[in-house]
Amino acid sequence: MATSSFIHPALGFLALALILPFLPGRQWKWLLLLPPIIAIWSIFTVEPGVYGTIPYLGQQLIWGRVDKLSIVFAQVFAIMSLIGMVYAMHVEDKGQHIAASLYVAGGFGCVFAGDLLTVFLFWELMSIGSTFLVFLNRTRESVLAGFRYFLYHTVGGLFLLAGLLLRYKATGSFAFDLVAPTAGQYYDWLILIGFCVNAAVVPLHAWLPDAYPRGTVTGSVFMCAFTTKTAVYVLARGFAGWEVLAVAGTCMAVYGVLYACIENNARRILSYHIVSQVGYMVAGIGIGTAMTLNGAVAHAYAHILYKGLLFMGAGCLLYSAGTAKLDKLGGLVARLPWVMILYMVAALSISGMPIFNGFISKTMTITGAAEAHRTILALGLEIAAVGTFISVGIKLPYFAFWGRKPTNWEIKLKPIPANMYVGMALAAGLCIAQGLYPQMLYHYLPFHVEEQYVPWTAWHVLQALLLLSFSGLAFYVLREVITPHAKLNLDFDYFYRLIGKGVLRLVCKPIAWIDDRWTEAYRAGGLRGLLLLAAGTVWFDKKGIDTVVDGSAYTVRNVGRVGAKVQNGSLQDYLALAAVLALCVFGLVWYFG
Amino acid sequence: MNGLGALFERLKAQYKVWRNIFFVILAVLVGLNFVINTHEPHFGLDKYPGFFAGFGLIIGLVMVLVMKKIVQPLIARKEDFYGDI
Amino acid sequence: MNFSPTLVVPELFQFLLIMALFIQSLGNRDWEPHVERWLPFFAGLGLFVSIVSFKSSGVMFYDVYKLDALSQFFKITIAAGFFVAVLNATRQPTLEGEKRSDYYMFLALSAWGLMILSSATELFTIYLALELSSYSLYTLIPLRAHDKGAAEAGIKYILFGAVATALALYGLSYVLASQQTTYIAALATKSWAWADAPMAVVGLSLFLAGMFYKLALFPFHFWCPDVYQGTSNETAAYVATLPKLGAVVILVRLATLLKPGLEITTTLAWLGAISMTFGNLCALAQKDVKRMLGFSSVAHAGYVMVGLVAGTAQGLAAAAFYALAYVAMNLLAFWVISRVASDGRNLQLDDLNGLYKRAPSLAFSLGVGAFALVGLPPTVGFIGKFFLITAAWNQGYNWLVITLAVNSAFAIYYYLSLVRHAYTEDTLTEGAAPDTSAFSVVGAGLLAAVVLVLGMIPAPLFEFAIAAGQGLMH
Repeated sequence: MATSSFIHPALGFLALALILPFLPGRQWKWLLLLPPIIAIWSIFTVEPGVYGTIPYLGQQLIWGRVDKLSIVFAQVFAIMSLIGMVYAMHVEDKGQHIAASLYVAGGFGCVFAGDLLTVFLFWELMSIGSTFLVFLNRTRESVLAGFRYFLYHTVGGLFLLAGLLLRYKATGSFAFDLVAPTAGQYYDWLILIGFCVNAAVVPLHAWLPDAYPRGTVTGSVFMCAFTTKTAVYVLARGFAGWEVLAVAGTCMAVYGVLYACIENNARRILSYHIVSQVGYMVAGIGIGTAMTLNGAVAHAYAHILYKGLLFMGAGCLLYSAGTAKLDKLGGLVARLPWVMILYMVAALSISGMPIFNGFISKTMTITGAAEAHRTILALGLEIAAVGTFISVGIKLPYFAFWGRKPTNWEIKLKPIPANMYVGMALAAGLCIAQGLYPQMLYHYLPFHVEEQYVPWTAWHVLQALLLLSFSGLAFYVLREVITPHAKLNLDFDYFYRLIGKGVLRLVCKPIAWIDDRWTEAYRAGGLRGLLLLAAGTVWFDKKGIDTVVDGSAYTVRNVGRVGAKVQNGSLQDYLALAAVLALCVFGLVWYFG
Repeated sequence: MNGLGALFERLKAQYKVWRNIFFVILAVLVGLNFVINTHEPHFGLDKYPGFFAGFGLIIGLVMVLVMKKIVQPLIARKEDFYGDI
Repeated sequence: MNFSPTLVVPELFQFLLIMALFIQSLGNRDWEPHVERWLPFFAGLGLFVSIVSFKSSGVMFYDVYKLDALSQFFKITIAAGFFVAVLNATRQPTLEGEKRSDYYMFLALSAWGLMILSSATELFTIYLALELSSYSLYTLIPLRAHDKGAAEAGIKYILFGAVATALALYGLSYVLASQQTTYIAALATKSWAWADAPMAVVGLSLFLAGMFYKLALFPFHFWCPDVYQGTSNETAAYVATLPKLGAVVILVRLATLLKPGLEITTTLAWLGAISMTFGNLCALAQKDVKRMLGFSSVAHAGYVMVGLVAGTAQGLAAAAFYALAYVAMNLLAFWVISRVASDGRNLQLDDLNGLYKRAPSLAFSLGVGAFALVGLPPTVGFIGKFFLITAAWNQGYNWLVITLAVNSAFAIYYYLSLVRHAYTEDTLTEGAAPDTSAFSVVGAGLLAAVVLVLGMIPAPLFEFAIAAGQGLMH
């Protein structure tokens, strides 16, 4: 069933955000599932085309550009929004749901935007929504992290705005289409930087491990899926084939896993992993052949599912045990067995174990890279695969659930609500389904390749198993070395803070000096003069104006009092007065008129 | 602790058995590599059997050792280094 | 004769309501369902019926009964006003049980008379419809729980009304004698200058006196403050609003006769000016809220005159729109008064003290109503006055427009004193507590919303009024 109209998925979420504050009682929770379901239905039934054009400033703003690329991203966004809402159903704080709805609406808006101005509009909406997902954790750490996140993303958004405005000035259009790699102007680079901030390209990535671990338990699940993947979508749309992305992506992929090996906080490990996995996608986009682009899209699709599941698992740990720090956890497998199982589904997916969906997507990118004769890049991506399995596939669950300790009975565990398990099970089910039946995902890939990539060959399976099991061996050998310690590892945010402090000092010192001098002059000369003038005006007002105005008002009122005396209550007087006055007026008019 | 948790407890108690099974699987996989191999090597060297096994092991060892023993001591600071905990 | 039932569906519906009320009034109070249960719904349905019939057009009954955009516009407003007045009157503490059905029957009858009045295009029909609506109202005024003041107000209304309508009939006879016709369309083609047809001009002036009595224009306004003060709050809500609509629609129809520059038009302009000024000045001295609103009605009647003397389609449209705005604002003000005086007493200004604490939503709605009556944006009062001023400027009566502006300044004092008492003074401890139930608050809120929304988005309604005005001027 296909429709020729299109219900923009963002509308449902925006409507939810608007009405949620006004809903009483407790049953509003079920309403949370409605916008994702509408979104899923809308996306599965829409025909490709252009919907919702709005004229503005002589240009057409396109709010509903529906084609294969946007459909596949919107599809996984819709599914993830449903999973996320199910996972978050137990949250009583309406503010978190509103922030999540606005955030998701922003994501959909960006995906279906046909012009840069609309992208910017929804980009900022996403930024606001996600900032509140961090703020609403309501600890000092989270509030400060949210503030840094917001500052940083605003700067990124400004790069995007500057780029698109300069582009409009130069080309006269806001249209958002592929920029050929050789034809990029300085304004395209500005737009690219803006997009790369959200895509967490190294060295612009440090906001991600700073903010995501400090979001709310359910908020981080949303955030891990949407911001970076929207950035991947816009890069795929506008900058496919740019060489710089291929190199940057590989660097990101390796960088992320290197940090993940030494981090302590479970959600921080996963955040660095986002950097790494997005690196795969960015590299795929940068290489630009149809297979690597398909691989990037497939990877994004699978990644949203298994990264969401990873964050959900870590979120369960955080919710239940009160901490996500691996040095404080351990020995929990007996008490949280289902969390462990569902987590391991995601962990094996991300590593690329056969049966799970990482296997059918990750290897496509690497094969594509190799077939495009980018050997160094393919090597880098394989290295990253090793690191992925070691840090997320083994290190995190090992130290959280086993850790060579006996069952840890000292940690008090809060019971985990059923909806969190349901959400995780949904995601796990999809991971396994796609892994076993890859056509489910490949059907929606937008770019056309001559030879369809076939993941389920004997060699591919063996290679994956070899790589992963021997990485596991490396972990086993070094299991004492890789023990996490509670330390902060310096990253590029050191430089961001330095720049921030420098700008602040620059503004404060010289400008404050000027301001001080100015205030002095104002106080000595200007203020005194002003007060004198004010005194004069007050005198004039009191003595002059008020007597006139008050006097006239009193006079009018007294006239009114006298006039009202005419209404004395006597009917004969009324009738007489009516007749006499009417005749007088008529007479005067006829005489003088 | 429900039944599933008790199951995992018992499995944990027998970790040595699992470890040995793991080593056997490793050996089997290397053996299979001699039989099943790629026809289009990505890196040139990967047509040799055992390449990916060695690759996984070496890279894994190098990565962990370098990061934990060399890099982390350089960049690690106390948790409240920036003052925002 | 040309009777076509499909054209007069609103009137027929109202007539059926009257019949049903009549039957209910034959019984006693125990008859189920009680009239307050079913009447509001059917009055609302009547409003819906009027809205659906607004495209009706045609003539009936040998051309005395015309359905055009103007008549349907006014029927909708009358139906709306009737609906609100009925809702307001369902909570009337001073009305005895047995008299309730009769009360509503006469209210419906009066509204029916006004509906007929909006379509009447011939002087005798106008007279008959006017009498129908007036007589029904005469019976309602004294219905206030053995209150002598209400009886006195009723007598004054009847007698003053009798004199006014007698004069109107006398004037009608002069018009018939000199112009040989009583159809307005035919009268519009005759000359109305004093030099050409003095008897006709005198006759028309006397006939208009009857209309001015209904509208409470100076000097036929003397009944107004006394009647508002004497009758119960809910009846005053009806009397203050709907009859004025009937008078305005007739004056709008007759305005085709009033070319600018004629003596009769100048007379109207002068009456309007004196009415505004006198009404506002007298209102300044009042302490009883309904009496104050009575004088303010006199002033508003003067404002409506400004549109009528302009002589253009816009002027007529502005007058019609202002009548509608006036009805909305006054219904709001009287709703709040009826709810604050939950025991049915006459409110003094001091009774409003501290309303913002006792009933904040009612105080806010009262504030909206007061601002609208002053003519402050973004309410419909401002837009109404704005339309009047722009329509009448440069049509030969600029002095009248300036008087309108100056009078709005006078009026600020007493309207805002309502707000001042409600918001800045502290409660005195006597008197019954205001009614702050959901019924009261929601009604006040919706009426305030109508006043604000019509003020912010007047265009649809005003275009309708312009279409009606243009239909008349051709």
